Amino acid sequence: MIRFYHVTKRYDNRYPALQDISLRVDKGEMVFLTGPTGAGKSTLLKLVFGAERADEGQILVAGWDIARLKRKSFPFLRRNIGVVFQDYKLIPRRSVFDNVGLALRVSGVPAREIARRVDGVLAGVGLLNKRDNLPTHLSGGEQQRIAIARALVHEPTILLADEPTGNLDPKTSWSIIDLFKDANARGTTVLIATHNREIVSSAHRRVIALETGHVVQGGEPE
Amino acid sequence: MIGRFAYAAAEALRGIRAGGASSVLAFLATAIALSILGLFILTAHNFSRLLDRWSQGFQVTVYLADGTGSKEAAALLAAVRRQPEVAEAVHTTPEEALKTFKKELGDQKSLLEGLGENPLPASIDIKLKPEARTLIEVEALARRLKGLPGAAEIQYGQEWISNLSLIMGVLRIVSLAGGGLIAAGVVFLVANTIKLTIYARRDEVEVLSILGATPSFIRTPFVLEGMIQGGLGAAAALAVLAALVGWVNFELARTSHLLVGSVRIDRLPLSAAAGLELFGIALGWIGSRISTGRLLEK
Repeated sequence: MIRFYHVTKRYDNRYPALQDISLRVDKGEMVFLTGPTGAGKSTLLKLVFGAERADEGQILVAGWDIARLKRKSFPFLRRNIGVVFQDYKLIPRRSVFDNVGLALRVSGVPAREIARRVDGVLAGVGLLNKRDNLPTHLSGGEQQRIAIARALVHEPTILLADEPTGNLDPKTSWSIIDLFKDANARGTTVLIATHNREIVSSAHRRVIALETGHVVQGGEPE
Repeated sequence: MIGRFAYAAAEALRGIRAGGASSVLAFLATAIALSILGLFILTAHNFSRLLDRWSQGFQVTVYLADGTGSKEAAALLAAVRRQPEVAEAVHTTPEEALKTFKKELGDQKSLLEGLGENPLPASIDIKLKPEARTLIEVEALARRLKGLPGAAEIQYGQEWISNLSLIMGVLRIVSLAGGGLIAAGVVFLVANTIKLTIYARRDEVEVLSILGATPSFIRTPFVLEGMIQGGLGAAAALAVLAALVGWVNFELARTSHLLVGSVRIDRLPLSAAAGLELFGIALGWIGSRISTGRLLEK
């Protein structure tokens, strides 16, 4: 589902954030991407959904060759991917319903279908009763659930998460990880970047470890 | 498609509301700029109407040589009427000229009693076609007329035509230059307002991009916002101009007893008003396209 072949990424021609990375995440896998701050986890995720472009190497995502992808094709790649961030990236001026529905609206899904699917996914994360609230009126854990609902509402084949539990307490963190497990159980390929060792060791999933821009463990499935 | 447009329109209106003071400022500045542009058009329109009315009475006169017989005079009149610039030509005999002159003198016609012989020459008075009322056309006609047998002298308001052409030329240049400057100002203004709006909502733009929105999906609400701003500014400018024309005409009517005849100024013609409205919308479109084009590239 995701393949990196000898990928290098530099910012402003400085020391590379990622250097000669090769890795593979198969369809239906749930994989943790670990490493200390500055190891290159966020950069690797950004390369997957096309927010950054690699300087060298080849990246295949859901059958798309990212290096050859034209600028105008990126939106269509991103509609196959759900992304969850540490800071949630919800739009504060819009209701929970509008935030989640936006992921469908950009693909031209009709309003009635949006209402049906948004209510369904909000029920799935246990926040249907908050659909008309503004995100700023919700707790951190609730905001992250909304962000996950938004990432899942268009039924992506890949779900990426960048430090999704970074701002949350341990109990809430586990409930978030459970949502990722549920999505994975329904067939979504999940790649989670985190430096939370406890979650990684208890989840019993494959781990790709990065250090100073290199893969030091688990680049390929066993 | 309708759903997407409705979404973009709702977003544009939301953007204008959220813009608050900066939206109001952009609207006011657009309205003022387009009012000035409209004032240029209104002045040019009324001035050209006035000149047109003045030039209606403008004519060329061919004085016939002494001793020209009626046969030669008729031939000359026919030759004059064949000229492409001529709309109307009337032959006046010396007797008719004297009669008209006496009529014009009114109570003072006794001044002419001492004259033994009629001193006035026969003439042909020519009214020109509107398109021929330029210095170049009239001079060319005068040269041709002078060469006709029986024509002694040609008279036309050389200075007047020269001034008329100059005034029209200056008015056209001032309107074009002023209009161009104002148009550039409005584009700059709308572009900057939209740029500020995008900057204020950059988090939203980023999220939309991550969710797979196409650049046109992201851009459309901002472009509509610019078009609405330009359109509203133009509508306000038209309202200001209509009020101004109403006020000027009211004042002219109030003081008409001091003037010769009734004087009124024209409203902006419907085509010009529609043009100004479309121009406002187009400027808003251009301004927002420039700013979104620049910012969404990043």
